Amino acid sequence: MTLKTISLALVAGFALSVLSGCATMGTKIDTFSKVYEQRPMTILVMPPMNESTSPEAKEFLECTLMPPLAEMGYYVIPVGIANEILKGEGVYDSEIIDDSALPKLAEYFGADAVLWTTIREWDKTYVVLAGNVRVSLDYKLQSTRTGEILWNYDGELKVDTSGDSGGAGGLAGLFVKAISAAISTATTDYVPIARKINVKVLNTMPAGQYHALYDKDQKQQVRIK
Amino acid sequence: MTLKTLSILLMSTLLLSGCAVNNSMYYWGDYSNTLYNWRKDATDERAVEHKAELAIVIEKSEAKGIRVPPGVYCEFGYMLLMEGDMENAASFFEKEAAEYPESEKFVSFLLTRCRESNSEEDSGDAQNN
Repeated sequence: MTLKTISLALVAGFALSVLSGCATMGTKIDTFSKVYEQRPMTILVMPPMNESTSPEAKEFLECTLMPPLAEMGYYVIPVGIANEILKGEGVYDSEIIDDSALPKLAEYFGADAVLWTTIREWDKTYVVLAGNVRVSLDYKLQSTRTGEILWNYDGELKVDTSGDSGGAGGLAGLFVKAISAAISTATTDYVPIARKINVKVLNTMPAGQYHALYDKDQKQQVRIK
Repeated sequence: MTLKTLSILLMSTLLLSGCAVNNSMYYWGDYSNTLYNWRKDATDERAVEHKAELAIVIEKSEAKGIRVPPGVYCEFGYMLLMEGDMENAASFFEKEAAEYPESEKFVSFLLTRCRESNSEEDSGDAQNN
């Protein structure tokens, strides 16, 4: 192998890693084998923990978690009701709960697993300036039976909001909506963006029993870092 | 370009766009928005809006012949429970358990709540009498 070939190979390798955004990829079975072993069906979504400087990010994320999680084939305890019940038990924030609560959560809600989310960063200036939102999030799916983490996603995510039209949460759509008198506050428009984030992240999860790919997606490559 | 190539092209475009749009298995309507609005502003008005949206999701899903999304019957029942309509609340909780057997534990927890509020009301009436 000549020096030229080696350098070409190096350049090609570098180009590839740039293209893939330095993301580490892996198959679902290699990365999240415990999901395939335990086969959770019912998931309880806990109130997101918010470490970002945007207090409103908590509700945006929470209210948009259920549809994409259900679309992945899981039974999701309705977020609104779960929240009320937890409050009734004195749990307003997820921060105050630890693993000792898992058996109780399994008993009350029949949850096989609990989904914890932490918002580390939620950069809202980006949507106006660059047509995208940059967020840093941590998702963890924990078994209520063994306490093990079955699936997780931890990382930065940039969601493009400029490319698509209208309803799906495009920037054009945002302006239209902001102008429209029917929408009371402009902040409402973050709902489609939060939904996009959740769809993107939760797609890395092995499919649940109601999904067409249930038990057929082991070899699917997903971003794991 | 022959007619055949054209029709193949058209067909594949249709198929592709079909995949892109129709990749969800449930009908959600405006669920996340009305839930968010209610969460942000916990007024009766917002609750009514969210309840109306839940009713639309149920109606449209049933009309399309697709499964009502997980939790929606439950949430609708819960709204009825808050309005004091225990009987109808219970029937929606039972619909959830029938559609999603794995919700049984949660549903029976809700039904117990239903009965508790019922008996509280009864004892309240007794005291008033």
